[in-house]
Amino acid sequence: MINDPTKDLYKRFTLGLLTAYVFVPFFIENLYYLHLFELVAIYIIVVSGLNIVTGCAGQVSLGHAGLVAIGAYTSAILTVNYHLSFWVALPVAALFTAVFGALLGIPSLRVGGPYLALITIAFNFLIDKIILAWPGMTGAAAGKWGIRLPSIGDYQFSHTAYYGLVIGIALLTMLLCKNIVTSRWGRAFNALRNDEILAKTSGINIYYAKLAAFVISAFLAGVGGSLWSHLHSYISPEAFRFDRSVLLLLMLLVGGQRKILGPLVGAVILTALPEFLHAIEEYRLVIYGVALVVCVISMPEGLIGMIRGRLKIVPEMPVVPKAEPKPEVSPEAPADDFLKVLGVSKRFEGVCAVDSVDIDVARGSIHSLIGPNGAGKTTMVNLITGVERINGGEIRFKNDRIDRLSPHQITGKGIARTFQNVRVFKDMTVLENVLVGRHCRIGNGVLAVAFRLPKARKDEEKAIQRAMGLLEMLGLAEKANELVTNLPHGHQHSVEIARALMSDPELLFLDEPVSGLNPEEIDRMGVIIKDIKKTGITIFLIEHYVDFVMNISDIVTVFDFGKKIAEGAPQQVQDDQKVIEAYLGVERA
Amino acid sequence: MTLTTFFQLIVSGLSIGSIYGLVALSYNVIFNTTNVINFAQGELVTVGALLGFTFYVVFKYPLFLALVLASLVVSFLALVIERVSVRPVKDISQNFIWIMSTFGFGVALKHTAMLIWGKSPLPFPKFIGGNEPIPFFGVLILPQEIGIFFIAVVCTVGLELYRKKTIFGTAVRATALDRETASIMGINTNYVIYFSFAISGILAAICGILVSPITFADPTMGIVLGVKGFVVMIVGGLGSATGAILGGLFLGLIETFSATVISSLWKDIITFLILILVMLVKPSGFFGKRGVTG
Repeated sequence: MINDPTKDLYKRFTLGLLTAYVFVPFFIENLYYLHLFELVAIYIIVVSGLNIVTGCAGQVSLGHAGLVAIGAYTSAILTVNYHLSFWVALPVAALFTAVFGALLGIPSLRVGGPYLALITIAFNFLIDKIILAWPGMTGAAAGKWGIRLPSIGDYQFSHTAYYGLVIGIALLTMLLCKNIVTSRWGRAFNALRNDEILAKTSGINIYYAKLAAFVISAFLAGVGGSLWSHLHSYISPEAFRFDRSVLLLLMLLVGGQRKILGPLVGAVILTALPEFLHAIEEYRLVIYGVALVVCVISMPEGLIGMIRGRLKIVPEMPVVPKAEPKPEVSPEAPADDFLKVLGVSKRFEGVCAVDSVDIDVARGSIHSLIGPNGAGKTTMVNLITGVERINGGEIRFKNDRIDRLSPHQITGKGIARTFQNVRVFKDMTVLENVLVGRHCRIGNGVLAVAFRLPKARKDEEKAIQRAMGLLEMLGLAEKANELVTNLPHGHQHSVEIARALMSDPELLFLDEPVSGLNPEEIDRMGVIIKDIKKTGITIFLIEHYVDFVMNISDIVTVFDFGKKIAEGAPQQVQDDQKVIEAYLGVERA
Repeated sequence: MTLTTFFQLIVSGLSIGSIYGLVALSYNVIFNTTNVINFAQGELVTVGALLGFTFYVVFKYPLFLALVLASLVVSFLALVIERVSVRPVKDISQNFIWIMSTFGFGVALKHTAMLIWGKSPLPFPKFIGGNEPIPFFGVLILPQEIGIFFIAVVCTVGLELYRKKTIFGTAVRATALDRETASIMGINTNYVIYFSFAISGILAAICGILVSPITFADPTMGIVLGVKGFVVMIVGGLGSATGAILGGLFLGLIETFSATVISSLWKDIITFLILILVMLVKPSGFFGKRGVTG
């Protein structure tokens, strides 16, 4: 794969083109054209931020120009009104905008999708109104004058030098964004865009991740805004209205979401095109609108994605190091305070799905939960893993109450799970899916991964080794770089198990792991489960397939209509009169 | 503030509020069948207003004819939105796609309208009962304000009745709950969805024409009206027609009072802050039951 000639050529070609693009403007004398190149560089910075929050994390921001406005005005006010240096104003403006990004991100913790999109529209308006309502500082509709290009000591930047500065920041931004996107944080963003509940139970604090995405993108918008104001020497609210937000989104979509070069391609095309289309200037925004629809419907991967698709270039893959032998966990002495479910109930609008149930799971066992359809088995797992809240009772894990924790905290405590009907992060590869599970065991922050600090690199390497080890155990090592949805159903379930194991669980919930498998695969799954048990992990199994359960389990609990009707060793449960009645009905004399 | 001003404000608040309610209703009709929120809805209202201007003010057609013609054109545009921006989206839970595709359509629509009608607001005469206010216990009420309120109530009641009492309304609700099952039951779900977009278009055109004498037919009003209508729909609860109108009246009153008591500059700021507050406190609204999956 690494020596794929097309890929190699593609890489060299893009790199050459990029280098040429970066250096040509230094030889341009015409200030107007130079200005366009400066603009493109600023757009690259802003759209790279948009790519993180909207492209990766899937939080639609339709009002990004509002954030750019904050950066631009902050920088302008600091330098013009308070005579601060550009070099102070730039970082202050960026940080200040980042604060607003966090504020804008707060609603996203409660609502997503269309609600959030509307909030961001409202935000764009709000900023516009505030600028207009504050003439003393902002110059209101008349705009703000007298913003200057930066200087160092006596040296006053020319536009060529300023281009150098801006393109430098743009390239740095692209590099840092690439590092973030390919790191645990990029995976966390992608995971939460794909499936929030799955992301949570895989151990990602999605609230923190969303805020982080907003803050990163707002910071970059602030940098872009500041650079914008010093480029133009004059700013007015008109530059940051809704139309600008539309343009930014279009750049992202045209270039390609989640592609590092996407913002560059989009910015170049959408800055260059109007220059060739002066004749139809009036129609520009009509064309933008139509282009948005066409892009999102017909080429969701953008131009970069389309080109790569044509050349059959698969996404960048991490180099796979030799797999580490799978770690043997020494089983701790069985303790009687492992998982305790005490009188737990759950009602859904009057229906009692789980009715004051007690379950005691012993460390090191395979504990199975069986029962007819609708008996409340999956609900029970949802309650323990925090996906749903209990209405009464108490759940304790190693003596700590866990029934009020969020799913990612519970995962952090050492409880992992898989889902009924297979749940995977659909547009990620097998390896990425598995690596997501490691998120909660690595502590590197966004900055650490952005700058690829040694510790972050080492942790990432270890995580990949670990993941490859698990995939080898499950017989999927060769598929590591395949898109997970290309795998057959049974293998996807194995991917789920690997993801769950990556979080170093002490207790693993498997929700119907053999449903839909053929007899051969079922046998294999049995072996895998026993192997997992050998590493000291306690397994809680929910299954319909009674033969499988009876073969493998140490203890079996039987549910019917949300109540526990029997519990004990497999044989004992099988002979229980109540169990037979629940499954086969009551015999009438 | 005298008691008369107070009542005066209530009357104008109720009248602008009923328009917001109608916008919310027009969102609702589409959301109810497709679980999609049409981000071009505000622009449909705008086009309705501008067409109203052309037919009623320029061509001097009778009001009713102008209304019918505008409704026809806007319904047609709504159908185009369905065909172009909503139908191709296979998985509605992928909300990014339909947000962007309806939003993009709206941008194109708005700027096409600006090419045709220009960028400045077009004056629109009061069309119900003229400019002569009717004194009512010392409060001066424009006949139009009563007219708007009346039309809003009729639309709401009509829609609720049609949804709950007719077999077609049942088909609409079935389609909303589970499109696949509904189509197995012999409901032509495509037809139901087209129909809901058409109805929504008619409502949008009515809103546009009703709001014009108050704000003028302004080609740029779509986004603000769209956002306000959306806020109202959330306040009222998704999927509830009565909630939509009550939410509209609520927002209309708040807006009118804050414009008078604080300043008109703050009117929109307050509306947007309410939007964000409602989202934070109770995203499911106060009347409906469901939420959009986000």
